[in-house]
Amino acid sequence: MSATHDHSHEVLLQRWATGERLETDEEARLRDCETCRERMSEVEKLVGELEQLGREDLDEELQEALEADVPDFERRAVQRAERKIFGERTATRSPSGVRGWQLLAAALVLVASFVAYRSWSRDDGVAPVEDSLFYLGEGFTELAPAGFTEHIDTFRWEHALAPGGYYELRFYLPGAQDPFYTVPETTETRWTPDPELVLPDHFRWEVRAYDGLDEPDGSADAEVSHSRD
Amino acid sequence: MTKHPDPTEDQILVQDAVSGDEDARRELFRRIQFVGRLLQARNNRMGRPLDSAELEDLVQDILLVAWNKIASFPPEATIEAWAYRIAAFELLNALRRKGRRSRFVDIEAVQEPESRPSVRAELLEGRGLGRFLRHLAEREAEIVRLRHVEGLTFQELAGALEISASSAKTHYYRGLEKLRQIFSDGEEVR
Ligand SMILES: [Zn+2]
Repeated sequence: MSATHDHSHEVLLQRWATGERLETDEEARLRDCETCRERMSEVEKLVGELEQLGREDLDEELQEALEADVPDFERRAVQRAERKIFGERTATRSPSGVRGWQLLAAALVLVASFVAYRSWSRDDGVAPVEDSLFYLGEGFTELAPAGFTEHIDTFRWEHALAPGGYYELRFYLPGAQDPFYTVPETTETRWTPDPELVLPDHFRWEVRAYDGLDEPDGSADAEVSHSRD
Repeated sequence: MTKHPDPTEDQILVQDAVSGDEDARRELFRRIQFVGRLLQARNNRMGRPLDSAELEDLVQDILLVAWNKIASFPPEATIEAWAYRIAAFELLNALRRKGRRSRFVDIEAVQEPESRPSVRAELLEGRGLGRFLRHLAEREAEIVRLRHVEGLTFQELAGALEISASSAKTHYYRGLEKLRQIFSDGEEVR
């Protein structure tokens, strides 16, 4: 026994193939139709092939890039990024052809300057915002707090929310994949934590925007370090 | 065959870097620098829509974006593949900002054989998916590629192409259906 394949099945198949989550009864309708079952298995096979070919293309392109000569603009960009990330005062080494002892010496200097920078930032009492510490995703124009900060009061962001959309906040410990705290659906562009919530000294927070169809609509995140004295 | 970095080792390196291990941070930073070379190759293939100052800014942005996304490094990924996806997405956005998006995808060279014969020949003999996507309309091929090579979500690729997510899904599905029909009629994918 098999249900008759009709237009409503086509609509469901399209939603399924483009990754939309189907309701249980919708899934059941597809499963009960022989045509749909066949189509789904063909699409799965095809997508598998596409992804395999995609991975091969990616591998090939990566390998070519890794073997290419380093262009000057890459060296300059790396030096600029390095200063922002590691807080160095002097830009340094080329990625290849550097002797081991030079690397070691450079690394020690860099570690020292990074540590110095961090302690300077905290001891100084001001709250310099290191601009590498946050990522303003598409559509976000402001995000605070970010970087070293003395006092955390309210989390704020600027973003044009899609009609029917909402935000979700997530807080992560350094290195953690899963958030230790989340704030579900809010439509405001600020959130003030309950005084009972104790935020760790170092954490990362992320704001995710969703549109009216629950589709992701951009995200932004920032690392925060603060002292609770 | 390509030499594959070990995803487990990469996962450990990322964890160490995130927890503040300076050697790991350095090593990780070194591993993502190749995005400059990647962009250079892509930019050349596209007829150089970006000049070297723009490439420099873009590479810096990509390095910083990647750095700030480390905590969401996906399990099973390699650092290079992960950085590649970030780079591809940022490049797409940079080209869109510059109004040159339409030359982003290789496949479009396939669609214009007269204007770029050498690229066409290279693609037809070369990369697997390009050969495969010649059966599709330009927009369909572009979206299938962004989805399955660059690994973008519909939301991401729709934003970068300045179309709605539902329109992106429609093009994607139309392309997918064409391919399915062609290949279920007996033709092999490879
Ligand atoms: Zn059916």
